Amino acid sequence: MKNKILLGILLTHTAIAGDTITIPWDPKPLDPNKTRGQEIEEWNKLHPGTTGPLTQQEKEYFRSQGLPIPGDKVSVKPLNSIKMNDAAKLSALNYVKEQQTKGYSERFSQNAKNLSSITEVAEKEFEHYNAGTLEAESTHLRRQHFELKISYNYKPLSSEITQEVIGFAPESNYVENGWNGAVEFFKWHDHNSICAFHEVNIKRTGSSAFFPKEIVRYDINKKLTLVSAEGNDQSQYLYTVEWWDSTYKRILECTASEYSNDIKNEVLEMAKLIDKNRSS
Amino acid sequence: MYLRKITAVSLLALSISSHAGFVSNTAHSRGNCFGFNESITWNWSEYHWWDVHSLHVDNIGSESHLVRTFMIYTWRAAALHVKEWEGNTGKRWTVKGYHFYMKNDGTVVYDVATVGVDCSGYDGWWDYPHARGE
Repeated sequence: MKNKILLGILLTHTAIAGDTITIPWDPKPLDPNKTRGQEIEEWNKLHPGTTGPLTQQEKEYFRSQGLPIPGDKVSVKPLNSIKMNDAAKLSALNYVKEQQTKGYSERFSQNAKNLSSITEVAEKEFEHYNAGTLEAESTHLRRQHFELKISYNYKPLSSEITQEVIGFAPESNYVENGWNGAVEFFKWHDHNSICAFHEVNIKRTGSSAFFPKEIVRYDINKKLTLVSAEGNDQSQYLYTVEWWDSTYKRILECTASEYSNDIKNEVLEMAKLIDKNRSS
Repeated sequence: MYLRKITAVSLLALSISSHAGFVSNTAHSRGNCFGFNESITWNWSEYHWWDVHSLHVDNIGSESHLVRTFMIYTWRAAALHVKEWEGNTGKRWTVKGYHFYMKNDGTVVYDVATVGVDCSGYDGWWDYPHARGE
């Protein structure tokens, strides 16, 4: 009830401009002796790149919008109970049904197409940007992991996994001591495939999520795991394994020219090995 | 109108990603820029469902507000407030962005928060030609 009243107030005082919506906000600070702006800036100076404590007002707002509360733990819940518009819900339900029945979602996958062309992108990147000339904040691709400034102790994948490394790019957000995540691109010759391994330090970012229970598994060291595939013959196919623990969100994506359960299992095994190597 | 906008953005994204290399999701906020405050999630190579909430708090607190994109499928979700800057409003702004995304399977993720109190930002979509040395 309280949430409905809050939402009603928000909508009646809302102005829509272009593709965004603007909601009046009377900020209530955590400390009555400070403004909310002071609190945010002070926290950011001491803990850059982290979410920081939310006020009750901010938590209520995100809760009323049906979104995960920043900094909270992840939740697993039925897809039908996750708030989204009708079109998005129908799309998600179809996607999940296809995963469960066919093993993949048959659709043109722009992400598969982009990843499969990363070698060409990398060549052009490396033509423009020589090693050591990029600022730490730059989002461009690097040849070596040590050219990236990462805010935590980041390790590249071992050579037993990456048959041929293409490069590294920053991910997530940049803070004064580096990026909170990175992606490593490499070739997987077994299937003439390109893979991307994404890692984000969620202990730093405060990331949280609602996962549909219909798709959640615990394959990787009993960690919350999602396994999916999508694509068609025009775009190629993208196999994705995503797994979360209390410190990291990790995603392994690999392309292939066909769909098969065997390839999906191979990608899952690769993800297990990656996790094992990074946990040891 | 909406379709035209999508087409234009698609063409821009394709033409850029064909020779550019911003190849992962990144987020930022900027405050007290010349003419705007903003929080943005972007990836030049890929489209995603993104929802950005940008809290703009002024140093007095009388005109604070939150700008939201809602969940949109795009390469760049910008919770942008134009004409809002210190020179125009006489107020100093603190901008905090809360960045969310949704996956095709219905997973909804709160990704990261970003804070901006000045116009400094990392090498981003706005200075792509400059970053290439053009």
